[in-house]
Amino acid sequence: MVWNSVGEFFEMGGYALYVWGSVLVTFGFMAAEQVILAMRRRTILDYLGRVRRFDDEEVDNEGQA
Amino acid sequence: MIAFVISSRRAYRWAGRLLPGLAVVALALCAVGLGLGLAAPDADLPFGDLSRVALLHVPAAWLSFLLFVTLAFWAVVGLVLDNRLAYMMAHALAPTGGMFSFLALWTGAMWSKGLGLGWWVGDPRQVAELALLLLYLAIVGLPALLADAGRADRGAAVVAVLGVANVPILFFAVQWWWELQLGRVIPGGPLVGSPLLLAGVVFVTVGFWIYATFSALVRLRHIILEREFVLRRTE
Repeated sequence: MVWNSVGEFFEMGGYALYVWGSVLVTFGFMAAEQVILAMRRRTILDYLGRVRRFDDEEVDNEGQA
Repeated sequence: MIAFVISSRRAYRWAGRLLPGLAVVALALCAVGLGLGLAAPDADLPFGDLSRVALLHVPAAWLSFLLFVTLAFWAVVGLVLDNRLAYMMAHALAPTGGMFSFLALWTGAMWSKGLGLGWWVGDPRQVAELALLLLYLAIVGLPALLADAGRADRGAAVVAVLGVANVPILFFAVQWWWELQLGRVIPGGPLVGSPLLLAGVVFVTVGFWIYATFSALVRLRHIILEREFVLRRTE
């Protein structure tokens, strides 16, 4: 197809469902993977932060006693 | 042999240094490839604009093969050298490989439906790609099933080594069963008629490869942190 208008580009010669269905799902999954990875890092760092705070409190308590 | 035995601490730092560059290159290659392949004005595409599905289908399928072979390689290194970092690398590759396996099936369904066949044709290529997806899922699922990380490592490695036999089967299934493939209709291969689309496929394939490396290294860093700080029980 030689594009004459933006509308024609989105129609993809009548194959819009299949072409855009492939593009959107592929990049949707890749974006979702990055979100999941970022959330996992967040979870790990939160956990390590909690351990550290817990540890600091222990030290404070020992200091008071 | 010593070369493989680098500490997880050093691997964590090296991976961290590589990540920004990999992200930029992957994004750039995918953008260029997508631009070339989707927008290329081309009156001579073998199956009209449906051919543009190949822009994502071919790279996704290639990555699903390549990542499984890479995963199996690290599994063998892990088994032979009893190397924890190699096992971690194998685990880090599995979810991304499974995703590309699913995307190869998805875009394959788009392709066959667009040709007027069903979403699911059930030919050897689709069945073998589905088997590959299930192998990936087994490797992803094992750590959840086996609380002991050492057993999960060895179990996943055995699945990977046995499952890698599926990759040549799948590869030759694509070569031999051409019912849906453009190759039989257009002598000389599906994309030869369109250099711009072919260039797009090459760019996206390399872009996906670097994307997969990026994701696997991000995941490797997570696994190292989790095991280093015992969020998950190890032997």
